[in-house]
Amino acid sequence: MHFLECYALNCGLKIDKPFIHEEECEVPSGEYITFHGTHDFQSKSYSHWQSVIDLVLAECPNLKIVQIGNESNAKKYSGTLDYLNKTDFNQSAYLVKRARLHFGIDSFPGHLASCFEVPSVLLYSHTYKEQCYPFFTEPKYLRLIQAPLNTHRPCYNIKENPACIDNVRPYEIFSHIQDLLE
Amino acid sequence: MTGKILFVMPRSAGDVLCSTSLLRSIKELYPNCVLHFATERSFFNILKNNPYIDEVIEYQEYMNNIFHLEGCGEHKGDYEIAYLPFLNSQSIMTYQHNTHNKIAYSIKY
Repeated sequence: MHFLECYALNCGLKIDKPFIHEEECEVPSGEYITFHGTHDFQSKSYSHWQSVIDLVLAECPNLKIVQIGNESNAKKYSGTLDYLNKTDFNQSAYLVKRARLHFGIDSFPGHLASCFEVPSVLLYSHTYKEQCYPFFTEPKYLRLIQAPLNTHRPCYNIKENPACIDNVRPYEIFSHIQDLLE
Repeated sequence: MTGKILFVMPRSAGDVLCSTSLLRSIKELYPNCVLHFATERSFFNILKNNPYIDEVIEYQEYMNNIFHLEGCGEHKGDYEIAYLPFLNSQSIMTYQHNTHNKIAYSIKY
């Protein structure tokens, strides 16, 4: 069961569309995709994003990759447009809504993309993807990758050593991005 | 019912955003209510200009206690209904609640 379904069931409420106010911000010219790869949770931090980004840029040289996020320890990846710590929630909504695709970890921008039904490729590690997937996006526009677990169930912890998220091969993520872009 | 309703979702950003999809249902059940949404201050902007929310207030630890919010015994709470969807006990409280139409199931007595 998705966490939102659990919330709705707990309260006896029906699920409708989510709402977030958009605030205009500068968006890149031409086509772009958004990327959120860093999280304060170590168990959500994937070590091979640079390889994924390099593969995407090699295949689609005209496509811009906008790196978003507001984490204090966010790592900047080369080849991306740096929007780190430059947009708040409402500006991120404006930015993500206009993206052709979103990819990255299970995080706020993933749910934001879901609000606007932006196709997404997302990685799940310390939780089951069935519990946290982007609820509002049609399944045909989603590629959800559950990292091969090191234990019999997800750790549900902010720290995992070794992190199972690193069991995902960069090419697998890239092939899903490529698939959705086509 | 014309009283105040509180929806509590302390964190995190994704949960707060997804929770906004439940608010229309509250306003449909209680069209004349005043709906407050409690969350941590850092998430206030997610709720900016939300058409279903009358006021966004800062989450405080005591808001985890539904009896404190709604009242119990001689204590009169500030809210007629409090929704705390993130607590497992909410489903039990929803069932036991004295406001019967808080429950979306059809119950014949």
